[in-house]
Amino acid sequence: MMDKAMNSQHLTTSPEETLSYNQLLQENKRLLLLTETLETERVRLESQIARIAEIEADRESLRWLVDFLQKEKKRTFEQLQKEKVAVHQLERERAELQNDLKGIAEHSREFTDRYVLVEQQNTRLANLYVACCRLHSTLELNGVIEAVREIVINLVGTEELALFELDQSGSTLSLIGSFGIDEQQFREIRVGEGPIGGAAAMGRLFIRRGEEPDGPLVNGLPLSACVPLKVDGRVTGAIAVFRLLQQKGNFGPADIELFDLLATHAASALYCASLHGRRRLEAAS
Amino acid sequence: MSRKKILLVDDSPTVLLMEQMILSRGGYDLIVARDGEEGVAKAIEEKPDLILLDVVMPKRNGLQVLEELRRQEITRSVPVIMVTTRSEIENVERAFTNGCTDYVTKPINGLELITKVNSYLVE
Repeated sequence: MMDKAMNSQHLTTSPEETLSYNQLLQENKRLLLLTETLETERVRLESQIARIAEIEADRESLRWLVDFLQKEKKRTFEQLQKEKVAVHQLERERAELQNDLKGIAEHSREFTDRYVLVEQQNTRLANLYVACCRLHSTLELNGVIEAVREIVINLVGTEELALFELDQSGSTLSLIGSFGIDEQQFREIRVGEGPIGGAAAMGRLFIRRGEEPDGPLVNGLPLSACVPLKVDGRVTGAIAVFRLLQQKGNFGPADIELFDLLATHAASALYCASLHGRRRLEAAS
Repeated sequence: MSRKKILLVDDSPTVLLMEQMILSRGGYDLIVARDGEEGVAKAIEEKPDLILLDVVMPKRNGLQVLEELRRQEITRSVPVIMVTTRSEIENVERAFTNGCTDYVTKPINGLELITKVNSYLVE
């Protein structure tokens, strides 16, 4: 319409007006193009702005996360320090407890050793007490002889023994009791002859030496010990111990103590029993 | 709690006295029998918790007593410790074949005896 108007006017417009109109048209086209360009640019810029906003938001999140992680790291580090201190403390306590345990184990070992010693001592004392009780429990000669036999068999540990009495002359030992031996072979022993007679003559205990598997032979039997019996220091008889029981081994301090007891108490018990027997005979006659 | 009862069977007064001295400190009630027959009778009558039994005895020896104890229902499961002078293998084996629980040899070691007795009686 404008063109028609312009065409109708063209017929009447001047060439300068036509040139101006063309310039305006071109300017319009140029401005439209520019507008489109600016619009495209605007859209592009808007999308960039939106992108930047997203990046800003992400950066904020990351900053928050970094803050959080740094705080967490600090907290974990402090916790680790505390744990280290606690571990150190526990290790110290463990070392102390191990020391205490060593001490207790040592103490327990000492206690056990002492207990064993005490029990051994108790057994030795029990042996002596029992021997004493048995020897003085009767005034019958046979009873005393039996007591001596039992004591030597059960408390010393043998199954071969001989019990002798010194005769009035003091020159001969006569057999009054035995166990496990041929009595005929040991009926009489001269004082001073052989290890039994020798022990009686000297009034001293004979013990076979530890390194000897068997002692000196007396009538074919190895003698392990000979105990002279004494009343008021005077020999009144002897106990001969031959082969020991297989499980016995060598004599120990407990056996020596028992022999010492037998040397006096067996002697006095036999002496009292003999006296008692004689008194009874005298009373009967 | 009632005290545990131990029956001591031995023909030797010395051994019986020794066993009584060692075991009396353990707080046990002790019953005594002086030969095999009395041992069987007292085991049935008294129902002990443990029996210490000598091997060589008159009337009945320890192995015969042991056989009888294992035959009787009432004494079958009672622990029996043989007290023997003999440690030779065959004698120990015979004792175990006949049903003994353990053994000690003479001369009696007090610590060994009390340890073995306690091991069978202390719960």
